[in-house]
Amino acid sequence: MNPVALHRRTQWVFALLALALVALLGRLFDLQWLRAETYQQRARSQQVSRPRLVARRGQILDRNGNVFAMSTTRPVVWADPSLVRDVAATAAALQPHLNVKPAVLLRQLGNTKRKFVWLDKQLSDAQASEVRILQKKGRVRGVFVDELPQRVYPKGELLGSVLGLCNEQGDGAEGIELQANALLRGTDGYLMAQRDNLHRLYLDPLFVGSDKILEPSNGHKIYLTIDEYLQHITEQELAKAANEYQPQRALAIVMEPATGQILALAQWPFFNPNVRSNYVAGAHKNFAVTEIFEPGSTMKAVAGAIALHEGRVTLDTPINCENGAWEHCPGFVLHDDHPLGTIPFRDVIRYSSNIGIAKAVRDVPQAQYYTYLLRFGFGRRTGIMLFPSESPGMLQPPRAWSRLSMASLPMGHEIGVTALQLVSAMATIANGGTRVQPTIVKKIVTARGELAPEARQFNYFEPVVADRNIVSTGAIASIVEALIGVTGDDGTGALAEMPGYTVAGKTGTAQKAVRGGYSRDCISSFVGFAPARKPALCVLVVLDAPQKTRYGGLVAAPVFRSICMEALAYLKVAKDKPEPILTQIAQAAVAPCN
Amino acid sequence: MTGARVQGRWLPEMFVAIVLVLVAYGALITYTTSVYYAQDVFGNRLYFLQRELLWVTLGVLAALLAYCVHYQVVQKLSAFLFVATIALLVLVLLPGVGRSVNNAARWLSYGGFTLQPSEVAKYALIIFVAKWLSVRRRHVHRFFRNTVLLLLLTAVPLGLILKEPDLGTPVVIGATIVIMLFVGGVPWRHLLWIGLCAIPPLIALVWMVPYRLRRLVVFLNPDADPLNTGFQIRQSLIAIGSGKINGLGLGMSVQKMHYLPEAHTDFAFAIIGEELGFVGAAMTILLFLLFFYTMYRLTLHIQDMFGHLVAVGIMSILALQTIINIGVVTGCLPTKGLALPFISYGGSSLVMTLAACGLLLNIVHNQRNLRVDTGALRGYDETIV
Repeated sequence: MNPVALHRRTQWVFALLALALVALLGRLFDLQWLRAETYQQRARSQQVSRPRLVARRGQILDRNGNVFAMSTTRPVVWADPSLVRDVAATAAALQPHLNVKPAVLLRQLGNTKRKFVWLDKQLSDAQASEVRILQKKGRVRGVFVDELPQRVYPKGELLGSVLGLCNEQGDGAEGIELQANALLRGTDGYLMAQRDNLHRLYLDPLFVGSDKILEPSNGHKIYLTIDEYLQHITEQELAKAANEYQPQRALAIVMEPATGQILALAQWPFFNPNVRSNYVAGAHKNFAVTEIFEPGSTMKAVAGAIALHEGRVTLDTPINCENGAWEHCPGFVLHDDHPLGTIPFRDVIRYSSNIGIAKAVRDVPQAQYYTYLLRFGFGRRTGIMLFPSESPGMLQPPRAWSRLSMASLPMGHEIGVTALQLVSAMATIANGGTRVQPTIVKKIVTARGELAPEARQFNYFEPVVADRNIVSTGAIASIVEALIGVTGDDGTGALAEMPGYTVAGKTGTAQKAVRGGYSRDCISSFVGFAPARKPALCVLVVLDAPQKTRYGGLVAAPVFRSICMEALAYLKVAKDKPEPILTQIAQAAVAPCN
Repeated sequence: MTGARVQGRWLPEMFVAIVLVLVAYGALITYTTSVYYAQDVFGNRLYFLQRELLWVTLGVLAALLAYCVHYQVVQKLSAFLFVATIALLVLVLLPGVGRSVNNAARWLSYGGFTLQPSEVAKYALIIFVAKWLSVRRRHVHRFFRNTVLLLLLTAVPLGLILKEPDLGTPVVIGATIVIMLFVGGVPWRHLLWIGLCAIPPLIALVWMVPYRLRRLVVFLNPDADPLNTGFQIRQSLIAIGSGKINGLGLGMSVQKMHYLPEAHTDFAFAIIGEELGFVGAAMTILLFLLFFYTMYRLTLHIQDMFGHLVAVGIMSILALQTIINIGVVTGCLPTKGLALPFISYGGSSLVMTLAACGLLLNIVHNQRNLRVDTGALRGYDETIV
């Protein structure tokens, strides 16, 4: 072959190859110069990760620092199917350690178009560590174990309905968890870091500048005024009564009259917030503030105090109870369950005479009477914080009243109250006529234990006086005497009497108002305080529609008694009456046998 | 001729220098592209670099051997090499003998060493074709008895490589053979016929194998399947593009953190683009251009037809691999598993490339001796002397 031709052809070859290489230079120019921004954006969007640094949700504790709600983490397993090499092998390796059906696991892992699928959100720590071992062995590429926040209620159903619960994202859904969500949850931080395609962050000291990380600030701790022991005995006693009388629901509130602090608040049926599957939206509301009912005879304590203060009666004023039937105004006849003749006013309270109390307040002007009810806290919200949707109750102004109202109101009808209003009104009597705002928050502190600045309105340490001198101290002293009579030997609340302490209280048995009249079911209640002349506790017990018997004195008073006896002993309250000798002897006799 | 020789006096030394620079650069790039993967999979960030250096040593020895044994010995052995290659290629396909990676049986393994027979086949075929064309140079115009016969013979090893399966290597070798036919004097119209005849089987080969078709679709529309087949090319473009003009800096690539699969082998150039930017990537291409230019200039000094054709073959096959590899990585060509000479990690490839460079120098060096005792040389065209 001609060497010139050989060379020429070689030149051709080289020229073409060189041309191709130069063309690639052009392509590089296009990618790295003209379109570089686009690719840089794409690179950043996949390489830079901004994980949330989740703030730890604050604890909820009782007044003594016992933890009622706390946050931990739970392991979860997820996968990036695009990284899974062998779906079948990965599924087979994982299967023994997860609570997922094999078919579901295969389907999730086989989702190769996705970058994220959940595998198991319910696994135990032991299972999670098994998965982590598989990860280390490199047998489950694309499978990851993370920790998600988990709300735990160590006391189970104790105080459950008050605490509420959190949703799956860790935000409050009900109860205090919901109401104080903003204070409890804290502020999440974030971290900007580079990540590799296996979702591992890598913190380059050059990359993580001060503006690339925001520490989370953990949520505040809420100390409630609740006392774990008192809550425990309150729930226990309430459960006993509930099991015996099978009411629709039952409720008990223990309050310290001088401070308005709620020491226990029990609501039956109980609710365990740890078992989210039992949760029915709305079924675990805090009935103490959301539901109103007609209180019935417990209102006679308030009415009596008003009559005494207004000077319409004294304890010894004889009142003719008309043998059980009295025409209050033309066409309206009032009845007593037990017909009574002429008795002193103190016995009107003692035996809970409807006719007697109506006569005692008959001459109080309506506007005056209405003002008293308002000052005792009816018809308006108590202002307690952290309870959701508190009802103001139902109290009509006098212009809407009928001729019958001045008979109905003293005996606790034509008025809707919340349990909290009722216990607060009784606490006002116990407190010498000064009404303090009920509260369930002792203090709110930051995670580090300092008083939380955002929660200033909660961190008062003096009781908030809502109203003072509503009725005179003389009237208070008289009504307390009358209320002590209620728990006397033949009073309606005799079963509330206890050794060692004088008890003042009032029973209530109100037919439940339903559409168009009254049902056969009753709201049976007892509200009282002890020791009567120097009250340490004010307790309300309400059973809604008890079976077997319906009198508050039979159903609710024994619960009151059991709670008070244990609580007073626990609080080491000084006894104010000698215990009956017989009891002492009996105790002394039994003691050696224990 | 004398002028050209004087002009190109330092060419062999320059060629050696460029090869050494490429080898060193390749080792550096192997380290930086593999470090994250090596740490993760083998717990040793130097894993690939250590092996690369071992292969460099072997490669240099192979190059010295190829330089020292007179190339006419190689010329004589061409038929034997051809048969031996076919034997190796058959061996790799036997179940239990060939080692598979990613479902492709491309390696022979013995006592920790792996050999990729298709790498050997490249150069064995170049030698075989060069011998054929130089011996039968008077028959180059005969379409069937020369060209077609030769192509049928070479189709045997190419078919075996195709069976591994590997489409990239046969295409590169085939193109190299066509270039050698062209330089060897086969008429234009014959080459045109061959080219036309090659198209239907190529289409069939792509169409019949699902993943090849997918790659083609993805090449035409890179966002069609961003998580699977399109993933690699998409990640490759992100790597190159995000390097911008100056790059992230040597060792600073993020895409090598498992975003870009095979960052240390076929897609090493993408990491070069990311870490060294347009400047570095362009310099790399220019370095290759200089390498091929030097080769080309050396080739022009080879008067012996066999030597000349071998040199053209070596230059073509290395240049084609470079072009196709960078073309794939920059998204200009559909995905092919082809290594970038010197840069991609891979033992057989590096050793064979270095041996080929040694052979080229051997041929150039022995031209002087050729000039002295002229005449008796086979395959040498008398008209040149």
